[in-house]
Order: sequence, then structure tokens, then C-alpha cells
Amino acid sequence: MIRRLLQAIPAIVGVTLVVFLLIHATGDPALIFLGHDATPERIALFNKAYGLDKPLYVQYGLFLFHVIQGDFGTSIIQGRPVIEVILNYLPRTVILALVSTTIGLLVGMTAGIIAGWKRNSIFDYLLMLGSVLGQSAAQFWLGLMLMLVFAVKLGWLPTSGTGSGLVSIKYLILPVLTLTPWFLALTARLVRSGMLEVMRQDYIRTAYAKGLSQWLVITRHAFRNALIPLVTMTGLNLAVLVGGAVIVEILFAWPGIGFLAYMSVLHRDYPVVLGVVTMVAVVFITVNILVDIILAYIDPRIRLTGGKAQ
Amino acid sequence: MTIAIRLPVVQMAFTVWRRVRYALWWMSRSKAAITGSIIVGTVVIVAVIGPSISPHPYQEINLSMRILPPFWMEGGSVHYPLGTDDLGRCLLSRIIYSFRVALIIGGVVTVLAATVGVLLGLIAGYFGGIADAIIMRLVDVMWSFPYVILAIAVMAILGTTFPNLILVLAVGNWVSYARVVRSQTLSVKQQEFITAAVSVGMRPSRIIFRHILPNVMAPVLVLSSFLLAGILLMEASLSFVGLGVQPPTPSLGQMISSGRSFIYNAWWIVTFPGLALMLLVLGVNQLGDGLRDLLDPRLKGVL
Repeated sequence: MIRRLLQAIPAIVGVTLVVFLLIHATGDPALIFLGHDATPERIALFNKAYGLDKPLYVQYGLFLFHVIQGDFGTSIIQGRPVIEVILNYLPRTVILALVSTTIGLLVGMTAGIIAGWKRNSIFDYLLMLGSVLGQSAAQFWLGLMLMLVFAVKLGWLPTSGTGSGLVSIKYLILPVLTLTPWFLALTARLVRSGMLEVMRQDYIRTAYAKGLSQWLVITRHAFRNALIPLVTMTGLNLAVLVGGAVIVEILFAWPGIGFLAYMSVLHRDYPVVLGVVTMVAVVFITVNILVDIILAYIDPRIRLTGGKAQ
Repeated sequence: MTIAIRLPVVQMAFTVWRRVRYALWWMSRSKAAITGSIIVGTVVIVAVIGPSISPHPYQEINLSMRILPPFWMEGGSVHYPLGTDDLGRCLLSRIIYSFRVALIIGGVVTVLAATVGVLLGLIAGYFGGIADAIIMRLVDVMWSFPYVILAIAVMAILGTTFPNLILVLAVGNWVSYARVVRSQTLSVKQQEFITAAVSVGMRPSRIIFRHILPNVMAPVLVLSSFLLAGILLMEASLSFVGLGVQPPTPSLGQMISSGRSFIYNAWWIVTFPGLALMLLVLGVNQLGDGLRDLLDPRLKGVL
């Protein structure tokens, strides 16, 4: 367990180092912000204010030192602490991730169980067809198609934005509908194939022979087999979505983490980019560790101590 | 009386025919493989001979034919079967050319990522120790990277050139090869023929390339087709936000993006390129499913 946590540290350091070097690879931020006609005095002042006058390794060392204390520096564009900016954008991303993962999981599991139980039925075929198509469509295009139908043709929903307040259902529907199908299809497929694998095994027949109802056999025995890949994929999906469904957030002008990252890159707001990337990496690694713990709890065959749970 | 056929050309033709027939029979055991290879094959042919069958050059602008609907709608023209965009360019011709662009990018990236990933995976798996530790930490770093943000950052900061695009896509994909090849290598290494090769004093490089590599090729092939699907989608996404393929070279993502401003009066500009992309990705995915079922059904849980 502790080894897993220690292994995460080089990953986080590596991730931030890559972004840090990349950011400094081109473009002098002072020239970008003050314009190419800025006087040398103003540039010096700007560089001093943001610590850009020190050597690179000192800058990176200072960055790491501050991050450990929870300080990600100050946003160049917004003039506020980076942590504040991120916390401002985070809730909308979390809402999107949670809502779409929950719906995908519930609907996908139900569909997968029915398809696995009634194999080769029309429902099974339609579901498999839908999931194959769903995994082949570009998400941003799917979003545009939904926009075309629900916003342009029917005029029921707004095309983009968030409305007033933290979140309004009307604005949430299209982004969620765009993000959900991929995970829903994956869940359905995992559950279905997990069920098919065990349905003919002896212990299922024993369960029936004991006189257990169909429902109990499916939920207690057959469904469990699909649980391990499902937990892994749910964790992965949540982590990816919290890391910002960047393209979908851009498409719907949804002010979440992905949108923030995109805007900060375009405006060369380095502290924010670094902050977002570090945060996302931490979230990703944390979720992975959590998944391992949950898996060890579900399936005693997986132990946390021995090497990588894979 | 039977006449023995001795002409070398004829004999060769028979051999080729037998091989093709065998390949067809082999493929025919998987429906997914058939669907996939038909779709991908068609797209490849279209992409290769594209410019000579497309109704117009992809870059031809005709301002008097702007925003023309597809031919079956009122105001459409058979000369522009899928309609035109805001500059009066033929959508069908642009889609055909975009297939070529997508396949070139996808192919180059796959080969590059596979070469690097397979090599590193073989080294990590065979030698273990420090090499393994270093490579796997590198994999960890890449794995926990918010890849889309990285791709956007690289393209925005280093510039939206073609080599950068290839590099970004390859960097995001070698990791999967390294992981899969490493774990396959670890299991192949346990087998007796490797022990035999070591005991007769074979050099490591020879063992790796002659004995281990052929045994990990099946998963690599299957993985390649799944990754190719992802690469095609990623390229489209980057082009969609303006950080991928740059005009005048057309790409499907870019076409969808330019149609976005006309979504209120011209649905076809955003719809058809997306359908084309879906078809291509569908074909590649199906091919991957089919190859997996044919080559090694045990991979089902892994890939």
C-alpha cells in the first residue's frame, strides 16, 4: 500500500517536469503579455514579479516547494491564486463527471444484464449494434448531432453555456448526453460478456438447482463476474472526466477544468496550466489507488502487496 | 491424360491463389473481421485513387455554389452529391481526400508508436532490473498524464506543424505497446525454448528478435488496430479545435469544425464528415475485434 503511494511520487514529479519544460520551450511570457514593444524595465519588473528571472531549475524547485505547501502561484491572466481559479472551475466538471458516470453505470448495467440473460434476442442485437456504433463516433461530433436535433431543429435546449447559478438542468442535458454513451456502451459490453462467461458454469446450475430465483442467481452470482473490469473502467472514466472532457467542454463552452486548461494554454497562463496538470495527475493516481483497494476488497485473490494489480 | 503444369508463372499463380484462398477462409471465421476488412479496404482504395474519382479537386472553390444541399434535397445538384460548404467546395471530394490524410497520419503514427513501444517493452520485459524500472516509471508518468491537455499544449506552444502532430499522437500511444509487450515478454521468457536458447549461448539481441518478438506480434497487431481507431479520433479532435491538420489540407475534424458555424442553416456540412469518420473508425474497430478473435481469443480480457 505504502509502496503504491511512494511509486506515485515520481509520476507526479515527472508529469509536472514535462509540462514545466514544455512551457518554457518557446515564447517569453513577458513579451506575450506586455507586447513586443515593452520597455526592458517593464519586462524586468514583470519577470521579477512572477519569478521568471531565476534559472529554470530554481524556478522548478520553487514550484515543487510551493506545491507541497498547497500554493500553485498566481494566475497571470486573472491575477488570483491558481488554487482559487481551479476550485472555481472544478465543481462544474465534477458535476458533469458524476452525473454522466452514474447514468452510464446504471443504464449500462441494466442493459448488459438483460442482454447477457436474453442472449441473441432482438434487444441483445440492438444493444451490441448501438455499442459498436457508439464507440466509433467522435464525441464532439455526437455532441454536434445532439445540438443539431435538440437545439436547432426542436429548439428545446440551449446549445452551450451553463445558465445562471452553479448548474441548470437545461444546460446540463446535452453535455451529459454527449459524454455518457461511450461509457454506457462499455459498461453494457463488460457486464454482458462477464455474464455470458459464467452462465453455463456449474455453480450457476447449482444455484438454480437450489431453487434460487432467476433474479438472485443473476445479481448474486452471474453479475459478480463482471464486477472487476467494471470497477477498473468506472475509476478510469471518472478520472478521465474529472481531468476534463476537454473537447466536449470546449464544444459546449462548459466552464470546467478542461475548458480552463484549453484557455490557459491559449493565453500562456503558465501557472494555471501547471496547476491544472498537477491536479489532474494527482486525481488520476488517487483514483487508481482507490480502484486497487476496492478490487482487493471485492476479490481476495488480488492482493495489494504483490507487484502491480493488473 | 493429365497435363502436368510446369510453367513457373502458372505455378506461382496457383501458390498465390492458394494463399489468398487460405487467408479468405481464415478471415471468414469471424464476422467482425469480414466487416472490418471490407470497410477498411474500401476506404483505403478510395483514399489511394481518390483524386481521380472525386467529382472536383478538394480545394476547388466555387462561390456561386455556396452551401448547396445534398443532391436529393431541393436546390441540390448531382454535380455536388453531398452538397457544398460555405466556400462552395464539394463536400464529397473533400471527404475523399480527408480519408487519405487520416490514413497517412494514422499509419505513420502507428508505426512510430509501435516501434518505440515494442522495443522498450521487449527491453523492460527481457532484461528487467534497472532498465525495467526506468521504462516503467516513464510509462507511469505517461499513464497519469492528462493526455488531451498535453496534446493541446504541445500543439499550441510548439506550433501546429505536421511533424509535431505526428509526434504528439505517437507520444500518447507508445505506452500501451510497452505495457502489453512487456507483460507478454515476461510470460514468453518463462518457456523452455528460451532457456534452451540461453543455454546454447545465444546473444540476447538474437533471442529477443528471433524468439520473443514473433511470439508477441499477435497482441501487437490487435493492439495496433484498436489504437489506430483512437489515433484517428484524436487527430479529428485536435483538428476540430484548430490544433491539428491545418488548411489548405482538409481533414474530417476540421470540416466538422467549419460546419459548426453553419449548423443553423446547413446540417450536412457537420453531418457527413462525422459519418465518414464514424465509418472508418467502425471498420478499424471491427477489424481489431476480428483479429483478436482469430489470432488469440484469450486476449479478450486484456485488450
